[in-house]
Amino acid sequence: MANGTNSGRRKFLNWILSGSSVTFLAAVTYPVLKFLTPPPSEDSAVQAVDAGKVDDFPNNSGKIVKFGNKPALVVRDAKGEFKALIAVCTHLDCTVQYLPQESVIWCACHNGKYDLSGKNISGPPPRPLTALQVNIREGQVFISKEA
Amino acid sequence: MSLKKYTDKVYGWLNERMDLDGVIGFLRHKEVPVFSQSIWYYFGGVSLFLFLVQVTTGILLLMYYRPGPGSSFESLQFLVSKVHFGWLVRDIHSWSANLMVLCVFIHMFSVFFMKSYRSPREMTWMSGMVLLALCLGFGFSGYLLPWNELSFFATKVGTDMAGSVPLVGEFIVHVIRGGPDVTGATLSRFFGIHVAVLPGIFTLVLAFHLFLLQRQGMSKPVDWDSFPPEKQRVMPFYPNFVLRELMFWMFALAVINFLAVFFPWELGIKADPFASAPAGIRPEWYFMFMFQSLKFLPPNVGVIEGELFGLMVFSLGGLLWFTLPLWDRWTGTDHVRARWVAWAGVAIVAFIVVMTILGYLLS
Amino acid sequence: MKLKPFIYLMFLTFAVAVAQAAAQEVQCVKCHSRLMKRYATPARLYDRDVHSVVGLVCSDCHGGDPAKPTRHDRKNPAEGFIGTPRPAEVPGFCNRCHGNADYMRSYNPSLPVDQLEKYRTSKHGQLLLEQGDEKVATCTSCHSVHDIRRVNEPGAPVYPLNVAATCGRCHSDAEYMAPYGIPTDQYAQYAGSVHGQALLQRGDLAAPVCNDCHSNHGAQPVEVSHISQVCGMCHVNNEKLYRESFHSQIFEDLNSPACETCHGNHGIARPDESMLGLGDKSACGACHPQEADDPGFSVSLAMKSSMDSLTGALTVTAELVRQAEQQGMETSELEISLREMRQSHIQARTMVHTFDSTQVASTVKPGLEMGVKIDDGARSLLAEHDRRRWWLAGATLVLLLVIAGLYLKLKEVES
Repeated sequence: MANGTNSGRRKFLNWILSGSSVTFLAAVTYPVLKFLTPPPSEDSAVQAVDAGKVDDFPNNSGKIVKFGNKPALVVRDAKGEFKALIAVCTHLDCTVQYLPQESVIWCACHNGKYDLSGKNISGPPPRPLTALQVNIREGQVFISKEA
Repeated sequence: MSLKKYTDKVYGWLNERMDLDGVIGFLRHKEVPVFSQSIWYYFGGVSLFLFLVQVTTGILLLMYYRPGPGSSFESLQFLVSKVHFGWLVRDIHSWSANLMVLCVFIHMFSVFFMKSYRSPREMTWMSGMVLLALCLGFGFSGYLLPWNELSFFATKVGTDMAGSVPLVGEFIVHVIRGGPDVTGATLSRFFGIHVAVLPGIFTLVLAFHLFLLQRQGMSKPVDWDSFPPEKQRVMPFYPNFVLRELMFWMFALAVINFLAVFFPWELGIKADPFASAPAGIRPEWYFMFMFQSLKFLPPNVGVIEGELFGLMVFSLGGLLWFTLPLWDRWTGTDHVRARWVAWAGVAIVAFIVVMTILGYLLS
Repeated sequence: MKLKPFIYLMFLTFAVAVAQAAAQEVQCVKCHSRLMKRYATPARLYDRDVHSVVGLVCSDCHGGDPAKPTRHDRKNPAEGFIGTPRPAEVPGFCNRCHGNADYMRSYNPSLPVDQLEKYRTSKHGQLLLEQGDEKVATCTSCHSVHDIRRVNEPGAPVYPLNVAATCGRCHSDAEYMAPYGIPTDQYAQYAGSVHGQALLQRGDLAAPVCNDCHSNHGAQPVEVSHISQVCGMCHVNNEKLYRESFHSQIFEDLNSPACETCHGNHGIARPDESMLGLGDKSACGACHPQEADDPGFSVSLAMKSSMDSLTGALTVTAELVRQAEQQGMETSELEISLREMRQSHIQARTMVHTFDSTQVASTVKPGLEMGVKIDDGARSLLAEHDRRRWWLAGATLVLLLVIAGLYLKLKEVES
């Protein structure tokens, strides 16, 4: 009699122990596996950012893309060459834009102008724009911090 | 085949080749004394468990951490914000580090007060002291790795102190820092020490410490033999003590979880070697008592510079503490004189506690 | 033949030659540095002067011949000695070289040579050259004399950081300016203005100072009809929109000074929403009756309402993003969107210059929509942060179950 309830109790105890242990192991293994899976977005501060397909950039045009927590301006000049710069104006931090009619980078806030290498050529900006490196791989444009 | 039969088969296969029965038999025979203070016996195991947690979380962190003045902080920021459960691994690693130092201190002092260091366990004590030093080394080297403002300046102040050693002080500081100042070179050095050098040495010394433990068995209290027979209770190491130990380990893990949730570790501000030190730099809590007592010293004690004097006192004290089983002839023999040693220990604990508290109150 | 006298003679000749050469350089300075006070000043200062650096000496400007033996001969007007020019003579004095393109080409080819021409058109030039008023500024008033620095040297009185104080030496002196009947608070107003603060406090050399709007050599108050063009040199979009709006014609008909009407001239403050709608700071309210049924004022009220909603949303959203970032969440996407929202805000403020509330509203709209998206993003990050606590609490519960299981097993083993 006593044995019967004892073995029943025993089974129940074993179930609790093994059940909770297995849950515990799963609760440890799942985060570890997820942790080891690289996250979807790139660490742009160190790696390159994909700015789009080469064909998405017509000649003499510019496009703003996200680069880390800053906007970057990717310009394709009239000859078809790519240039990329951090699009934050060095005067008072407005976002700059590309003016195709003048082939110049322009800041609408106080009429500052930069040439395509980022050099400040007119208006208030005190320093050039930070240049980024452009690499074309398999028809995609990648921008990264200059080495 | 049922699960039990299957596990029995596997066990049998391994047993034929490794004599697992012998091991388990040994463990079953090993006894742990059961008395009012036996709770302290768990702290050694918990320290071991926390070390294992550190190694695991440390290896996981290594998957994403990139040492260097331009990437340490950024990779940590990336880890904490973008990697799945990165925040959790980092918080566990940081909290478990602190808990491990705490448990190691508790373990050391409990061994001291229970006088388990007496013959034949002198080497266990001394290897344990080496492990303590390595543990503090882990803490100090690891603290710099996030490369934030606090860690930069804490390392600067901490390594400065080595400079007060006469003659070789400057050289020591240069070697520790990898240069005259705390720079990326220091970071490289500390990283190498933290993930390769210290773990290697620690594992070897730990293996030795555990080997001694298993060989010599658990120590019994001094007056064990004068206990009445019904009080001389023991429990088998396996499965009783092991099960209890596991409970304690799970409890330690629950404490870490709680701390990680309610007191998350912050990223801080990235270190700027050219910025001036922020107000309120202080070392981690386990160094606070030394830091505070050095602050209390006058600029000069006799002809010796104050800081140097303090370091000399700590070094001497450390040496005495390390060699304790070798010169303490009274513990276990002369009970009256042995009391002095015990009271000295109480004084030391009180000093550490008071200095730590003062360190926080006065900053 | 005795050699000694021959050697002495050679030595003497040599010494005289050296003395002669030296005399050319130091003769003026030799006397003038020993004279009293203000007579000694030119000699003392001249080493630092840009003209000294390029090798010009006293006589190159003042004429005369320092090599002559007597003072009377050195300072002989027949030899071209001019001495101290009177104020009315100063512009002509400097112009002898600075207006001569061929001469200037040998020292600084790119330096302009039209300063006197411009000066003649200026208020200072008109008063001095046509009416003989010697109180006004001449070349030396601004450029100093005998220690003239290049314009791009920080020590020059006309270096951008120093220009306002240089003009202010006269123009802020109420007693000195009393005969002219113009205000003397320009410097004080400028120092408190957004341009003045940028220049004087932040050292932003790009900020406009007196000569950027008034011209330097051709200094005149800006004509009413040209004010917006001058402001428009930097504030391109604002000027263009204003010019194309109906309001520019209204201001022209009223002879109201365009940009200055609402923004002031010297004391231009950083504009904000209090310039619209109701209140004493309202620029619209300065002319329009502050009533909703006034057609002009109702436009102002509508614009204010649009702007206020965006400004409010921007403040709230920025704070949420900051909170999320502090909690260690990944906010780079949100920060970029926040930047776009700020750009929207700047654009909306620029759109005010169309005086068309529907244009302002349509510029504000994408900003507000962006704000809603950022808000959602920030809130979900904050919620995620909270969720983690609950998950971890759950994990702790599992741990407690394991402990319970172990405990029960232990009890069983020990019974």
